[in-house]
Amino acid sequence: MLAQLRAGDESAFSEIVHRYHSTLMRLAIAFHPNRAFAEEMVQDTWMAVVDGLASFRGQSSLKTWICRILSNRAKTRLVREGRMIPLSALQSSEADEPAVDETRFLSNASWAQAPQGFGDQSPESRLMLKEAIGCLLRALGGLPVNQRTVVTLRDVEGLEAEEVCNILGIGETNQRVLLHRARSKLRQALEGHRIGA
Amino acid sequence: MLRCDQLTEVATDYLEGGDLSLSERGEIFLHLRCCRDCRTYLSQIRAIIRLLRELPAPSPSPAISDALIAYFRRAQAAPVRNSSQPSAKHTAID
Repeated sequence: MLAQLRAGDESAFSEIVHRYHSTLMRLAIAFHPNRAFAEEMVQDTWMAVVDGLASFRGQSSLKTWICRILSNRAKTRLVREGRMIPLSALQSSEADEPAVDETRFLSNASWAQAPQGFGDQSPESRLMLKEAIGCLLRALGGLPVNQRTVVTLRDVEGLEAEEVCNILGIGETNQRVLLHRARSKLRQALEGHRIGA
Repeated sequence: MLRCDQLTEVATDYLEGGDLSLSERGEIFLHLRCCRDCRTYLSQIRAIIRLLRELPAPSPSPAISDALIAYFRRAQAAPVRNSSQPSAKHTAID
C-alpha cells in the first residue's frame, strides 16, 4: 500500500481515506467533541499525510502513523487554546480516583448496593440498544479528554494497547489507568439503564 | 481474601490480561466464584466494551473525499513542498 501511495496511485489513497477516515473522525471528536473542529483536524491530517508520505519510514503501521499525526496536531492546538491540560498534569489525580464511589461499599468493603441494571445479556430490543448508545455517547462526551481518547482508540476502534500508547505518546501504565477510569465512569453512567439483564 | 472494592480496581488489569501475578489472578478468580455482585460488575464492564463497538462510524462525505483526492493529485504533480504551509493547503481543500 505504501509503495502504491508513493507512486501516486489515487485508488490507493482513496482506499486509505475510506479505511481510516472514521477512525480519524472519532479520534478528533475524542479530543474535542465539536464536529467543525474534528473535520478541520481530519482534513489537516490527510494533507499532512500526503505531504509526509516521502518521509514516512514505516517504523509503525500506516494507521498508527496517520493517527499520531492527528493526535499531535490536536494536542498542540487544544493546549494552545487552553482546552486541554497536558497529560502530565492529570496523571496523579486520575490515578487516585476510585473506580466505584466508596459510598457504594459497606465498611467491610463488600457491595452495599449491588451493581444495577445491565449485564451480560444483549439489549432486548433495538430501542433499548438505541437508548443505551445515546446514553453512552453522552457519557463519553463527559469524560476528561485523556480518558476519552484512550477509550475511543481501545474500545471503540479496537486498537491494541501498544498502538494507543504510540499514537497518544503515553506509557503503558498511564494507558491502563486512563482506560480503567473511562470504563468505570461509562459503567456508572449506564447503571440503572435496562439494556438487558 | 480480595475485597469487592479491590476487585473493581483490578477489573481492567484482569480483562486486559495485564500485569497481574498468577496468585493475584487466582484471588480474583476465587472472589468471582463466590461474589455475584462482582460477577455482575465485571459483566457490566464487558457489556460497555461491546456497546462501544456498536457506536456508529462517521464516513467521509463525497465532497471531502473528492477534495482530498484532488489535493493528492496536485501533490504528485508538484515538486515537494514544505509541509508547514497551511494557507496553500486550506485553499486546496476549502
